[in-house]
Amino acid sequence: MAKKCRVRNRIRELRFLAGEMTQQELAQRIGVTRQTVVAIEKEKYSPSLEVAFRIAAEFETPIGDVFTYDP
Amino acid sequence: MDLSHQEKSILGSLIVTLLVFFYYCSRVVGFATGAQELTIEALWPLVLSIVVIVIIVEIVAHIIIAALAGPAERDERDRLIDAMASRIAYLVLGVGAFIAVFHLVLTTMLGLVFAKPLLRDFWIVNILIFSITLAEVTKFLLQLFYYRRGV
Repeated sequence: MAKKCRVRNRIRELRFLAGEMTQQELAQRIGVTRQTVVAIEKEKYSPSLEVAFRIAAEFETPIGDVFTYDP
Repeated sequence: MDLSHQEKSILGSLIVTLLVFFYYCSRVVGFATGAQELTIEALWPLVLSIVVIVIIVEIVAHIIIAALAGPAERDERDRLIDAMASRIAYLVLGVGAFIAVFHLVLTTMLGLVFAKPLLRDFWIVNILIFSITLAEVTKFLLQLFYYRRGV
């Protein structure tokens, strides 16, 4: 039933590399709810460009390293 | 099933809406079967009391949910899901409003305005109330669906 979006991401991996940052911590830092972080990680929701940039900035990496488009 | 605060809140609103609607229906059946005299004086207090009941019960339900699940937080995903569900609910409401107007025009044009114009008003009021309820229920169900499926 889950609708998979075509935007892939490495957020789970980047959270691990950032010292096992929790979903709640990331959510607070980028200004969304934990449920939204969960949905983005599960690729059930494509975030807005602004939130995508905030996530990339949080991990100090280019946005293209966090999100990729799978046509 | 792990439900988010928003999902619990929507589920609470859905249950309240359905319970109040069934209560309203049970009272309206009283009018329809003639158990209670159909007068405008009897109908409007019922409609107003339903509105007051919905407001009070919704407030109490949301206070309980907030106490159990913490304060509500909304972000862009919640707003998107709300907008997507509202768009469909608006269509449902629009169809209901159209049927109410169609009913009014048809009964007037065909000279079917009954000896009791109140009966026509009764049907129009109830078509609108049913449409509003159906639109709300549609919105809540779609929100729950979008939260589960993803958007």
